Amino acid sequence: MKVLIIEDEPMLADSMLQYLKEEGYQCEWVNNLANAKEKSWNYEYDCLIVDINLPDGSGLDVIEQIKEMKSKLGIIIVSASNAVDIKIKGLDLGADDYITKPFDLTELNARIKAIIRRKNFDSQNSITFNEIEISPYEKQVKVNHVPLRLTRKEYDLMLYFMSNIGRIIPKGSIAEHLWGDEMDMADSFDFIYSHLKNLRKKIKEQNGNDYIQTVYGVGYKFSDQ
Amino acid sequence: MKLLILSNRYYFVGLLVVSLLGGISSYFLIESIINRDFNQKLLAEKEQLIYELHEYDDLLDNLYLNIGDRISLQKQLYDPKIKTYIKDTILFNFYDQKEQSFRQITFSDQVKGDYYKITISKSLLSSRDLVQGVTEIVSLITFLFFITMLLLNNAISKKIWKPFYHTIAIIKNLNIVKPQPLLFRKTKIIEFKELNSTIEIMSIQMVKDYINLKEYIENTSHEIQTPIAIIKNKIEILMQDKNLLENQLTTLNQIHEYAGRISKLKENLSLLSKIDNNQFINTIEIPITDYLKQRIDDVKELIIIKNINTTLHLKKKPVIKMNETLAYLLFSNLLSNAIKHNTNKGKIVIEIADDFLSIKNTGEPLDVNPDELFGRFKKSGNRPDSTGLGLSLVHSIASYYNFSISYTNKNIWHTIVLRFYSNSYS
Repeated sequence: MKVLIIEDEPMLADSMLQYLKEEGYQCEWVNNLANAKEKSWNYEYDCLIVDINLPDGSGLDVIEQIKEMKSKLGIIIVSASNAVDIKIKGLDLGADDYITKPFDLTELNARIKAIIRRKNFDSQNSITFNEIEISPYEKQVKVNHVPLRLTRKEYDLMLYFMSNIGRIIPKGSIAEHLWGDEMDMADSFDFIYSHLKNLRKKIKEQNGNDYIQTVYGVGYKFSDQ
Repeated sequence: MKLLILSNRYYFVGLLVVSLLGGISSYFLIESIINRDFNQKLLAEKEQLIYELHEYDDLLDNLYLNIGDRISLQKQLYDPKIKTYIKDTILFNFYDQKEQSFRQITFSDQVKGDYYKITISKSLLSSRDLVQGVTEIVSLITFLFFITMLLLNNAISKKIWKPFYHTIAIIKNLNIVKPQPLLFRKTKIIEFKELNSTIEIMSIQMVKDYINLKEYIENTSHEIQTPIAIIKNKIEILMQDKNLLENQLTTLNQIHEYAGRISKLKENLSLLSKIDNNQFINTIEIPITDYLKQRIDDVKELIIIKNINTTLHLKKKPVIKMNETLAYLLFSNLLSNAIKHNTNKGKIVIEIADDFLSIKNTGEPLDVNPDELFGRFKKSGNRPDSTGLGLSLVHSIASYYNFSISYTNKNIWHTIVLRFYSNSYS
């Protein structure tokens, strides 16, 4: 999987590169519009992460160029502004997703995976982790080949963990992933706990292992180690 | 009250008093002039009569004369010693066959050894007519003067104040979001010239301040988010280090959380400023009942997890013109407030009528002053996760649309009532 990061802030690009490389992506980074246009013209990528505000122009220009090329690659817009008009414009131009700064790397990672899955258009495409199998196309989780009856949030939570295997995920990141801006309350951690309790129970019922480890004072980690 | 009406009122009262005083005093003045004139005539006639009575013997035989002035001579047995006096009196006029006013002089005199009481009466008929005529003329002139003043005043005011009204119209149309140069009409009046130039300077400053503030808000919200993103991401990477101790991880997580809070705080403050700056102009029609149901759906899960019992009284379906972003912020903040401060197994009662929305929720008694609840950073209890801006956003949006919002607390019940006045129709 090849990812091109278009970001003018080196420190931010650095974090993204580090995190995504560990996820097994081949990542490249450019810090301005001209280079971004050139790279995306010359090479093929699976996913593009585009910052809107670039020193030499708007990241939207790259999206326009790519759409003219009729390329199939996935595009995620990264913007510091939560302005609805920019969001709509970007998505209209053909971007697949929109993420607002400051974002969590676990969130970015989950979104990249979701886009790549969608772009590959493989309905059989599922993620497997030991006895757990999740097929995003059907929105279904199977444990030992038995489908689980999950609520939407439980499914979202499962997919989020499966997208960030082996990572410590802070509770705040989970809350934001599940509820977005809706949730700015201390209660949210109780809600996560309550969802997790049900999820663990349902996995256990099918003789699945509990891979959801609690990291005290921080959050959770989905791992078999 | 319009300026013209007010000045007309003062003119009216002033002119009325002056013309009344003028009319009355001119009446008395004319009357006294006439009386003085008559008195002089009567006194002259008295002298003449006495002279003639003394000079012409046969005059005394003819005791009653009724031509022009009435003269009566009454023979007295002894000297009546009447001191000459003049008065008004009513006598019967044979010519007109009715009683009329006369001016009468009375005196006594000794003629040829006999004493007489003599009166000369002069008809005041002609002078009464004169007084009446003069009064009528004065009234007419006053009336005409009056009308002329009012008409002139209206005409002059309209002409003089025209640039003023024009200036007001321009100020009313001033749109700070899309500023256009103010085109004041040329005027010769120094005061208005000064007014216009002052307004021009003020509006330029206002637009400048507005743009400055807007840019500041935009810049800070853009530029602050990137460093916050860097902090959060660096911590996330650091967190994955397997050699970290538990308390180090906890500390990192706290930094991660608070970095997120800075960003959220910044965002909410920017929103507040944007609302105060009228930056949400575009409106759509929002069916409140359906819209609120959607918002309840958004937070359904939270309601279920907290075991909250919700009761909806949605009899009416008011439609309100609002900006979509603001409507979303308004209703979702009201709802999340009702959930956030609710107790486990608590209740929420929502009622929508044509002109109001009321959200009632159970919860702990408030420990801040209810009046301050809508202020910024007013939090009940110590809730570190709350930015303390939710209700001030609600308040800002409500006042932006001229809705009235009130909060009451009775025992465990907290009620927020939002009244959408003029803006609503069903």
